[in-house]
Amino acid sequence: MAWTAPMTFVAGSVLTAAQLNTHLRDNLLETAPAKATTSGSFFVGTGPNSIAERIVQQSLVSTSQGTASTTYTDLATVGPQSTATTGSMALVHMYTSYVNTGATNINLMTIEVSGATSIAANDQYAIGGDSGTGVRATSSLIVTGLTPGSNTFTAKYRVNAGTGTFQDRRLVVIPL
Amino acid sequence: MAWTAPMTAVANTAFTAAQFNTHVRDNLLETAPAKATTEGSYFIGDGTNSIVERSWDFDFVEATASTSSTSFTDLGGSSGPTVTVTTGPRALVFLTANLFSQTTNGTAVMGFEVTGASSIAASDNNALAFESGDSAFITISQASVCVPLDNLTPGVNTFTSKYRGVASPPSGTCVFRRRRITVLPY
Repeated sequence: MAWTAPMTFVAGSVLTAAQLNTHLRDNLLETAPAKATTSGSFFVGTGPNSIAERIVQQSLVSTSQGTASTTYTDLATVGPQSTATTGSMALVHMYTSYVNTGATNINLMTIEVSGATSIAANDQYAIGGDSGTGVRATSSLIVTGLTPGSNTFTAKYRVNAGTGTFQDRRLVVIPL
Repeated sequence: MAWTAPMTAVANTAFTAAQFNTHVRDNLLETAPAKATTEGSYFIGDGTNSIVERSWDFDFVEATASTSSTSFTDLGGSSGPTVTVTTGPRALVFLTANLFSQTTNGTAVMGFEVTGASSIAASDNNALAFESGDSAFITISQASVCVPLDNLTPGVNTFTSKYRGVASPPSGTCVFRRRRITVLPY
C-alpha cells in the first residue's frame, strides 16, 4: 500500500470503512513503526511520501596479510566484505593499518561493489599512502550510482612497488 | 500543523470531524512518510514531537593543486570542494584528500569554513593533516577525518574546503588532490 494524503473530515458526513482503511490503516502501515524489523536500524526517504528501513553492515579482518600486486587484488583472507540492502547510495567507512617493504612505496585499500551494482576497485575511493614504518588511516565517503537492492562491498588492495602489508582492516557500510 | 498527543476514545461518545482532523489527519502529516521528498534522505528529531527530513551532500575535486600559504586559503586555479545544505544545529563533516608537503617534516592541512546561516572560520581543530616524512623521501597520504559540529545556526549553510601548510617546521609547497567534502546535516 502507498501513502495517501490524509483526508479532511467534514462534520455531518459519514466516515466509511474504505476511508478508514485508506487514510488510517494504510497510512499507518507506511510509518516507521510499521516497517521496523531490527534493533539498530534507521529510516531513509526513498522518494516522495515513502520511507524504508536500512541496516548498517560491518566486517573486520584483523589478520596481517600482504600483497606485491600493482593491480587491485584480494589478500589471502578476502575482505573485509559487507553486504547491505541499499538505495542508490551508501556511506562507506574504511580503516586499516599498513606498511611497505620500501619506505617510499605506496599502499592502497579500496572497495569494489558487486551484486545489484558493478563498480570496479579504483584509486578515487582508496585510502593509503607510502610508509616504511606503519600508518593507520581511515576514510569516509558516499558511494553513489548504486542500483537499489542487495550490494556487496569488498575491500581490495594494491601497491605501486614492494610488498605492502595490511592489518586490522575494517569496512562499515551505512546504506542510504 | 503540529503533533497532538493522540486522544483516548471513550465508549459511547461521538468522534467528531475536528477530532479526526486533529488526531488522525494532522498527526499523520507529522510522520516520516508525510515529510519524505527525496531518495536517500533521513529523519531527525527537531524538538519535542517533531521530526524533519535532512539530506546529505558531497562535492569532489579530482584536480591536483597546491599552496605555500601558512594561513587557510583557496587553492590556486581549483577552489573547493564546496557543499551547501540545510542543517539544524549539528552536522557531521567528512574531509578526504590525497595530501602531502614537498618539504621534509612539513605538514599539509585541509580544513573548511562555514558560511551562510553560520560563520565558522577554518581551523586546525576541524581539519585533516598529514606530516610528510624524513629527509630521504616525500610521503603521501590519502585518508579522511570526521568532524562533528554542534554550533551551527540552523538554516542553509555552505561548507567550503580551505588549505594551508604549517609554518613551523616549514612546509613549503603543499599539494592536494582527490579532495572530497561530505556533509551529513542534523
